[in-house]
Amino acid sequence: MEGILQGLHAVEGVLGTLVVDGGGGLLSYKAHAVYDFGLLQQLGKRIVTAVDSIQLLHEDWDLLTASFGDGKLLLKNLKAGDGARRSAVLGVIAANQLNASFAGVAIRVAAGKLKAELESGRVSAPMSAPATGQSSMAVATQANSQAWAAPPASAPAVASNGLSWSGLGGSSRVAASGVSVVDPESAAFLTSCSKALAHSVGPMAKVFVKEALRKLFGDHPFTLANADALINEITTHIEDPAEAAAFNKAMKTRR
Amino acid sequence: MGAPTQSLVQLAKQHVVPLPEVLAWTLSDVSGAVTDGGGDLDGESAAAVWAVAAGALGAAGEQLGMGVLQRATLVGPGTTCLVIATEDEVLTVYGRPPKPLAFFEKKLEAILP
Repeated sequence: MEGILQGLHAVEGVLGTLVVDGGGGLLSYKAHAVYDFGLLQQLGKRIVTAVDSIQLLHEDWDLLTASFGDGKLLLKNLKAGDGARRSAVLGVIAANQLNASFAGVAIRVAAGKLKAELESGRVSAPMSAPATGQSSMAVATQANSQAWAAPPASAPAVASNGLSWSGLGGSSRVAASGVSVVDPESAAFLTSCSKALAHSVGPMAKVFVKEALRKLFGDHPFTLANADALINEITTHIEDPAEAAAFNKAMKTRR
Repeated sequence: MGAPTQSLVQLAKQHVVPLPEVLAWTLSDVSGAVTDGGGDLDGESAAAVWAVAAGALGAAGEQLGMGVLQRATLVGPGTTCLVIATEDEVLTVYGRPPKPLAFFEKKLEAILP
């Protein structure tokens, strides 16, 4: 992967490049010394938090460009397709003078090569911290094909807020409508459910409740008769046992 | 970016949101609570998702010493999205997917004083 990332540095304005896996682990990086391993490792976690969130609505996302006051961060989705193995993201740290057109072409080329590397199974588990004195320009490419086994059906997402969840299961859902219910009582229950879950996950609660509804009932309208199934489904995805128990108890008393 | 970032969201709401190429939009506070919106969009979900994403991206920018997040763009086969963030608000604008995102960015640049 070193050579692929090196190629991106030929584009004026590129300050650093990194590849992170779905858990935020650094698979490879090449960057100016100011971006050391520890910093990039933390950056990887932030990238995954952002990407996990975005993928809930836009599973087909391709390129994200974040513009700051004094630089840019470009993220390229390295997931090859539905049948692809574990996902990864290419990150490009750049100065504001980055030529978007040149960079876009270079990133597409690099992404194609990186996907091939990832799919080949030659790329590895996340890097560990370099030994003292090792240059931050070093790039690790360890061989461990086991690390690229296909992910479980419900891949961890938004792990930072204590909840594991799968994506919404479709491509972009810009036009996703609200959930259908059979009566006002069912709607009120869903509102309570979102509010209770918000104690654990914040504003994403409503998204997660909708995800559970789609998973369990598809397009069928929700009814209170299905409340237990919904509560149990949501509860299984709350990682903190105490929060899961509190949610389960709170909702079953409101049913 | 010559304009105060605080007003950029309102400028974009005034000049970008009414464009016919805009499919939908949502305005929220930084916690993801929707304050305004329109179009064919599950605004509450979009606001929550982008509030979390903007928070993470903003933290990434600060960590890299690049300052605060000003805007983000997302493209994909079915997605054209522009996000403008301030300390208090997040405006998310969805365009019709075939429309190049550069169109929105140019419009945004044009409204800056």
